Amino acid sequence: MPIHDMLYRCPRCGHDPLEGHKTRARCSSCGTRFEQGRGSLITVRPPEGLAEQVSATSLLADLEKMGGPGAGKERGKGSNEDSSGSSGEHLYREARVSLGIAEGYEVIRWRGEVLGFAERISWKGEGLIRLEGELLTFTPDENGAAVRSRRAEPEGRVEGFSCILADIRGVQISSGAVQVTLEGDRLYQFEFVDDSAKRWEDLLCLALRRLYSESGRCVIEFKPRVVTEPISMKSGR
Amino acid sequence: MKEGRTGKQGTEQPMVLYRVLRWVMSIYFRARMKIRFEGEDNVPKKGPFFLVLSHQSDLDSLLLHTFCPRLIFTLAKSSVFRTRFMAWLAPRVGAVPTRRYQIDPQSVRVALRLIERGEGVGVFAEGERSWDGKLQPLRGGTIRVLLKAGVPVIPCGLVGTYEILPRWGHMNWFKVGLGREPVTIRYAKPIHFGRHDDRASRERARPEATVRIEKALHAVMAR
Repeated sequence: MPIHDMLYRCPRCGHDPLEGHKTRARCSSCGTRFEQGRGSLITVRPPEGLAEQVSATSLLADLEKMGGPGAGKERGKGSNEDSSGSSGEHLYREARVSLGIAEGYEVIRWRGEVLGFAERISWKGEGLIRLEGELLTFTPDENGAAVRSRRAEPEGRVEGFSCILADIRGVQISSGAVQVTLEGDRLYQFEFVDDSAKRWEDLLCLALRRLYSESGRCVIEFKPRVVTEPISMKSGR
Repeated sequence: MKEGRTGKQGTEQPMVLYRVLRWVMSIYFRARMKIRFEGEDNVPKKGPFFLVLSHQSDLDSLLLHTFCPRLIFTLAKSSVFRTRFMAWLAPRVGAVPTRRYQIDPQSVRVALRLIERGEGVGVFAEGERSWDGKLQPLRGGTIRVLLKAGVPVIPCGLVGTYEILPRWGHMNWFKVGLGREPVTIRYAKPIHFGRHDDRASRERARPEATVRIEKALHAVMAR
């Protein structure tokens, strides 16, 4: 996974997003460069001054202080003034994605016995995913454009969908894609064309936390399913 | 999973391909890394056990399957099995698919069946790799399975894999020889929780079991 998928905004100035490729990322606002250094350290090169080796832990903590996933007004972009740190703020973000839907399973057998199941993902095409308040929507491209990445043609006709956050049963990141499980264990997989999957996982988790906190509950697990408990229980521990 | 001849390392399965790949990969990893083992005696030579691991890198399962004193089965995310080749290979090297986006009763059944047959089963209790090398909250469902099985639980830490291949990083697979990075595979003493057959009993025991396993994982992950 590229480094700018983890550092989806600049940990130094808060600019959103970082631009990058694989092990390198650059902030177009302050000019700081981030590179995978020795081991798990990240070399931070400010435009002026000396480079320093910083742990991913501390950069992630800086990112969290700046409001975490953030919320952007423009497609695939974030804005600092629209930080989603405070609980009363309206969350809004959209990004281009390839949509996959789990349609059936491959049965994994070994020596004649069923060992388990692997979901079969059908790729439906590209479009826009949008989180707006308590609503998550996917709007497919009008011309039904082929998926830009490795899949040449979408499998079947893609239709848009929308759901309220309360319908989400689980959220997780898997190999650079965000998987959202809705009621009835329906799995939607979103591969992001120009945004960070980790940001969207963080953003959806933040949105769900806010949703449940309004009814006096806190989320204790997001995967494999969203599990909540009364806030009083959590604070009582 | 029909019964085969008793293997040298305790498993009932012959698993020839698994053993051959262990040998090949051990040569590669020893050339690539400076590997130390601590507490291997804590892994029983016979009988069932659960190995609970911290998950910091893609290397974790490869190293575990290569160097664990016993042939081990681990629960792996189902997306690993999506290609035909991996659907064929992964079960032959001890990987059991689990659907992470839902509660997967089949993977629980298979894990418990393996335990009944006296095998060792590895689980990454956090459910996914850590972004920053720190231990993440353990999944409640995993702790319930450990309590239901009632077999020894051995916390295991692979120290140094995050430094070589963090989740957000890339590794040069061809780099071998000088400057080998250190990796320590550390096994803690087995924890015995007893068997909790009914749900109420598991729920009562879960908070304390979670704390004990977390504490043990922190200890084996210490650098």
